Amino acid sequence: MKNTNQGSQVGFVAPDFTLLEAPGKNWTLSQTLGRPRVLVFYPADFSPVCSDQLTIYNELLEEFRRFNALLVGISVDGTWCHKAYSQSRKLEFPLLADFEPKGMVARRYGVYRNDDGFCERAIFVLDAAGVIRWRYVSPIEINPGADGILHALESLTINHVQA
Amino acid sequence: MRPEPPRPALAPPLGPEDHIYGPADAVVELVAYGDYQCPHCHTAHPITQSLIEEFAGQLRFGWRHFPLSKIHPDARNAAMAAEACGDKFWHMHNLLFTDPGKLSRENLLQYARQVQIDPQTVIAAWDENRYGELIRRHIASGLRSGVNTTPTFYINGRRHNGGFDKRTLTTALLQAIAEKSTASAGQNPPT
Repeated sequence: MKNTNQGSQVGFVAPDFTLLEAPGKNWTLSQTLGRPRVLVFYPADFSPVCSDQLTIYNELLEEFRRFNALLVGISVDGTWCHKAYSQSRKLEFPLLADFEPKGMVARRYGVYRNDDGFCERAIFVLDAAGVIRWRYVSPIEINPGADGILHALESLTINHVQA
Repeated sequence: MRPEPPRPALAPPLGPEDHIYGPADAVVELVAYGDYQCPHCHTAHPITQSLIEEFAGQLRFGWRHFPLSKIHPDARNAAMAAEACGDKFWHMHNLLFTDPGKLSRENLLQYARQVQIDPQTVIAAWDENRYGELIRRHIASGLRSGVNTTPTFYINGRRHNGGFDKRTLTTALLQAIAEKSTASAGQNPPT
């Protein structure tokens, strides 16, 4: 069963949170204001679909940087597991541990799978002010690729220029 | 019932810049985005080769580069080496799928010699990043087209979401041929 959370819908300010990005090192959403953020919730480190998905994003970091966007991955795995996974895939972006209380941030964003005990495969694109501008929950077995993220980041740029 | 996953369109469609094997008037078109160091692409290669043979005259096959350079450090050099081989591209392409563990610069130069390309041509391509912009365009087009792993296939301009085993691809190609035949028949005026 999925959680739903009104605050995680498009047009709302994304719920703030702090998670560990490494043992003993916090990452706080509100401390990254001023640039677009891409929050990638994924089910599990080392799973095949997640690995394909995150590998593609890792290759595209330069593309995301063109939009000054910051990308982070979030799953319920712990920091040591993230560290091993990140090293094995040579990932160059932070993986945040939504580990304790388990799935707390995923629940606040309405993308925790109660029956399975892990996150949906979900993406949130936030603008520089922290407002959710694009939200996509993929079927769990489908790798959504990067085209939706790039379109969302382009839309932010266009809207910014028009404003 | 699970929703049908999206089937993004190949953008841009195959054009003069692409490497295409097979007749221009083929009824079915198979395009792969791939990486020469990717083990899955190595698994897929003999399958696509056999499909090219079995659907000879009906199928044209296109290849676009999608090197995942951070996990496959030799993939980009291999893609550039293939491009540097010019009209020997397909010969080189096949050699590059000999062994994913044999793509060092020395291996690539040896393959170039095998297809009778001066190794200096390949070295110059690397040194000058001669095909860097082309590879960037391939990757950008893959992103727009919904490439989400390697290999990703497109059949008649739409992403193939199933597996790339022989049976699944054969079924998908036959279905695409049947759909095209039906569409063509529908366009004919009644007699």
